[in-house]
Amino acid sequence: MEFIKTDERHTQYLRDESRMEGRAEWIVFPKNARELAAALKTAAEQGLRVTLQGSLTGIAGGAVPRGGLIVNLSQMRQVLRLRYDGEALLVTLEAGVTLSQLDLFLRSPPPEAWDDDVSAEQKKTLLRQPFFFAPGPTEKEASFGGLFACNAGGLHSLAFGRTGAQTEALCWLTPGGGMFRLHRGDAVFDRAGCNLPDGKRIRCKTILKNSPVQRMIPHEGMDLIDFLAGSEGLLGAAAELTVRMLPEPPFCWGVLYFFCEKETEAAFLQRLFEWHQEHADGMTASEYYDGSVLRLIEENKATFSAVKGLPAFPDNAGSALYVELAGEDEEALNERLFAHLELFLSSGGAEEHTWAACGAQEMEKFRVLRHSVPELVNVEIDKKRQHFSALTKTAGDFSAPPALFSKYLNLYKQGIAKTELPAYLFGHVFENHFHINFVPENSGQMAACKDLLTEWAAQTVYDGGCIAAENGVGELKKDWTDGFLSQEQKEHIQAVITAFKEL
Amino acid sequence: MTNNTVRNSADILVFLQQANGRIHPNSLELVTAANTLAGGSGARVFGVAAAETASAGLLESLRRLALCEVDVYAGEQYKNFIAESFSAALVDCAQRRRPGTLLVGATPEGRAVAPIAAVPLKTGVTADCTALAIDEGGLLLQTRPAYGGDIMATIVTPAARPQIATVRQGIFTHKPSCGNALIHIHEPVLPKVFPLPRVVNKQMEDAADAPESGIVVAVGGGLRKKEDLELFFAVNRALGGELFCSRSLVERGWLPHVRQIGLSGRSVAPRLLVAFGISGSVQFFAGIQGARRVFAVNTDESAPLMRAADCPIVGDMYAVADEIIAQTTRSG
Amino acid sequence: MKIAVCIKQVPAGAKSVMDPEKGLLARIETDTRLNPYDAFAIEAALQIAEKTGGTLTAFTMGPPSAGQALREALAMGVQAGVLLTDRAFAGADVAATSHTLGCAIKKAGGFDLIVCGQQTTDGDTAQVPFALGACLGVCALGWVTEISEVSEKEIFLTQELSGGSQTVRAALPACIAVGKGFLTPRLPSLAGRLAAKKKPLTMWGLADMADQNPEHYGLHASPTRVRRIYAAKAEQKASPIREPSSAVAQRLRSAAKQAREEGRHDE
Repeated sequence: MEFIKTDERHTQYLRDESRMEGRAEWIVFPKNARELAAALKTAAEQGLRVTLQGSLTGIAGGAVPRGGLIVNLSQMRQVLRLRYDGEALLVTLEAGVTLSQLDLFLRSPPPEAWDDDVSAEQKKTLLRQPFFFAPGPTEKEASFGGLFACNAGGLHSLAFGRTGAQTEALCWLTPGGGMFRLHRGDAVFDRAGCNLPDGKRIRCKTILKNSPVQRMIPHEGMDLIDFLAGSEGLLGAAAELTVRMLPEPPFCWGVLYFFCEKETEAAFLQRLFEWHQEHADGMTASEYYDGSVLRLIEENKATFSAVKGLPAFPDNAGSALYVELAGEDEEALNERLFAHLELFLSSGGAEEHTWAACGAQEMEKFRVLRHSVPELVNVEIDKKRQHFSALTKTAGDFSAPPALFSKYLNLYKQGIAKTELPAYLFGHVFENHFHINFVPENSGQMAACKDLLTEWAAQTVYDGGCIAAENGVGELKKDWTDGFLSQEQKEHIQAVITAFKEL
Repeated sequence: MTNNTVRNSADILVFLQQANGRIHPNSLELVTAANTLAGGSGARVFGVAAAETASAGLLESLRRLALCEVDVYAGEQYKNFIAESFSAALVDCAQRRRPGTLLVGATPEGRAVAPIAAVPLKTGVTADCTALAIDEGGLLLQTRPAYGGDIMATIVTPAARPQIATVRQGIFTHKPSCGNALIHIHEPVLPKVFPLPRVVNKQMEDAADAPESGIVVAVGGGLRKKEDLELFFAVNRALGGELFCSRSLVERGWLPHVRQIGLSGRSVAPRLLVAFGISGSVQFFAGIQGARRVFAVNTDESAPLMRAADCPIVGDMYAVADEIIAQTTRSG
Repeated sequence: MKIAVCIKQVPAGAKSVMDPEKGLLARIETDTRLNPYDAFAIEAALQIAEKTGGTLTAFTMGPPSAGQALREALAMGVQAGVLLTDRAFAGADVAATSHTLGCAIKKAGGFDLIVCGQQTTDGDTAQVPFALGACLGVCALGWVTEISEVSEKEIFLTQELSGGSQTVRAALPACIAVGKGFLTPRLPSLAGRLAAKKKPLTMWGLADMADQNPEHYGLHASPTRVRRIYAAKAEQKASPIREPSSAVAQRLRSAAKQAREEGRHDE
């Protein structure tokens, strides 16, 4: 494994999708866990700053190097083993494997990939059954290492949680190159730290409350895997992960509801939320798009093949909600849909302002639509960067208690209206986890947007939410998020980082 | 379901599509293919054409083809393309000649005429064959991709005659020859369908215009710096195409989004796509589904685009680009 | 005005299980979808019906699960659906399929216009609309890119051919095949879909046909047979070429020249 001195061949490794650009003196492409450990060990010995990279699809600049060594995991792309626990397909893979590579692999996995425990019968059934990575992240080219590092969510986080929740086991490498393997349940935090399976111990403070920055301060009872999810490289990296893939439910629906009146939106969202709380039903996604997002899609239909085939949105559609439902019982699912339709109509919605898709193939149109939103926003940012080169992603990624979703939706809308700047608001509405993307045109506007984001972050912290919920903190938001941590919290985090360095 | 008790011969009939006295290149390719199939077996190759007038120019072109005989149906009704008129002529010829095989070019016209003719002939058509062969028993082996290209199928028409296959342009090559075909002129044949559609207007493309979707040159992540784009713009000019890129270059801000191919960009369907330094993500593939032929130049032979390309070339995109420019400059 | 739309349910992804002996496709029911081209046919037919005050009936041939495609059509606004399903119909090639569809359309009777999607994504042969027209004794107009006028008696449409397009006036009844892209298919509303799920479908088998000779349907009536099926090399489509850059450059320039020439001829 060669440590390569970087030159002009490596410029593509100095940036990710945050549009930030960095620098590095060295780059290395380990091919397996052993080589990764060696690379980290060498870097620690040489005092080199290390930046880990997966597929460079991150939008917070986590993969953008600030000097030192780039450790790029794209060569670690083997799917190692397939097992079945009766409910989920357990896939052990190297951290560089991307979702799309895994999908391709699962279409016809080689026989040697299967664990001996899996019978021939089971293999046949499993191969005919489509499996999916439950959280349903948008970016199919993201690597699992990256998804874990940000604890990425996705379309179905509402029902299935995020990447960490669906991770069963890890082969973890500490910053110094130490390695330990871990299954869920092996290592749980107690009041003063955590015992590792190999006998070592992480000594640090634990708390009883969440921190505003995702999980860098553990709480008592927390599984180490969940703690490591979202740690963005500060505590080391996963070389291998075992993730759960769930069977696609036999029946699923996707419905887009368009709101032409503010009152309809407010009433329907509230009623549907309450209904969802009451019925714990098969609602697996709830995605909100405001008017600026709908207009953005319309404007780009000609050049964006993903959305080209869509009919025109209803006139005067001011916003929209996309809901997915899934389940085993077709009749029960139909009943739920009727109930939702009733709620929509009684909130003032019009029957013809719904688009419904039944089955994964039909729903693909709607999923592609959803996936295109962050891409389209990036296109807008790129357009502005032509004139304003210092523009970077100026966005909020806040999650707050779900019950307060409508308070936050209004908060964001009012704030956006005040700035009078283009802003795109969308997100997982019933998780109260929204993305607000500003596209300022000069540094003055960019500063005003950042101020607004700071205001919103403060509100989020006050309500016990999280200010960098799934895209990560990375380099982009580091200084800003630091502002929300108390001195004590910062010391706790540093203690944890140190504890891991010493492992 | 056989059509008659008289065994059809091993002869091959080629449908010669013509317009304004010119024979379509696809048909010319099939004449060559038919001769190859006939090989040394002694089977004869015939042609059939329908035209408004049996003009001297048309007859001269037909005479020169490597065919034994050509049946020309001439009449007013063949002035414009009405599928039923042409099928009726084709059926008439096939019923008289009783060929074992009928080859039709898979142009929009051919793809209409063949299946319509197959119905009264009580036979079947295998469309868009990518390979043809004759087996030991004399059956035509008709190979084509199935189910979106994942699977290849070899199809036969065991009993019905003629065995009809349509083939797209470019599958076979035309070997010009100097034949001496015997021409027979026939009266037009009245189709059974009545009344026939009438053409009220025709919008023919100006032959001199290079169609927009001809050639696409695409560059991707293998490009080292923004300034290198100049080289590939030059390559694009040399090849006569339109320049596009993959998502990576748009992300780097080196090209605007309108040039992006992929799910979050444009879909292109050129006759020829030449990709330099593109690995080929799933979303890129979504934008090139309609490309007829894909050539890919990459140093990484295991890149997804290299695995899917019609012509994957392992090489350095810069070296190849320089050569293209050098050769183009030399040839003036 | 009575309009018939012929649709097909096709495999969605790579998961088609081949029976290598019979050369027949065993469909995995969860992995099917309405042929994408048919959505355009349904939309075209709906727009014509809206203009002329007509009614639509969708026809499809396949296993019982093909009823799903019909419900898709019903959800979009088609009034009735007919499913042709019987073991005797199975294994049909284009000739047998067109014959069966033709018999069903004749049985239902009185159609002024038959609309089809130009081709399917499985098989992709674009033949059925033409063969169907011939079976029904009506003219078949394919490659339709625009429908400018339609009445009970005639239709004005534009079709794309080699080297350009032509506008044609055809008397009805006729059979037309529409391509993708000149219309945007509507997306069914939630109420539309829910209602479609409950609507009864007409199911016809061999016993319902005027011609009840099983030799005239399915595999028996198919002039073509699949002799052999093999997986196209999924791994690598073609062997990588390794040659000096000068040879590569020549190869690319020649391919470009050929593509330009192909463009100049009638296509």
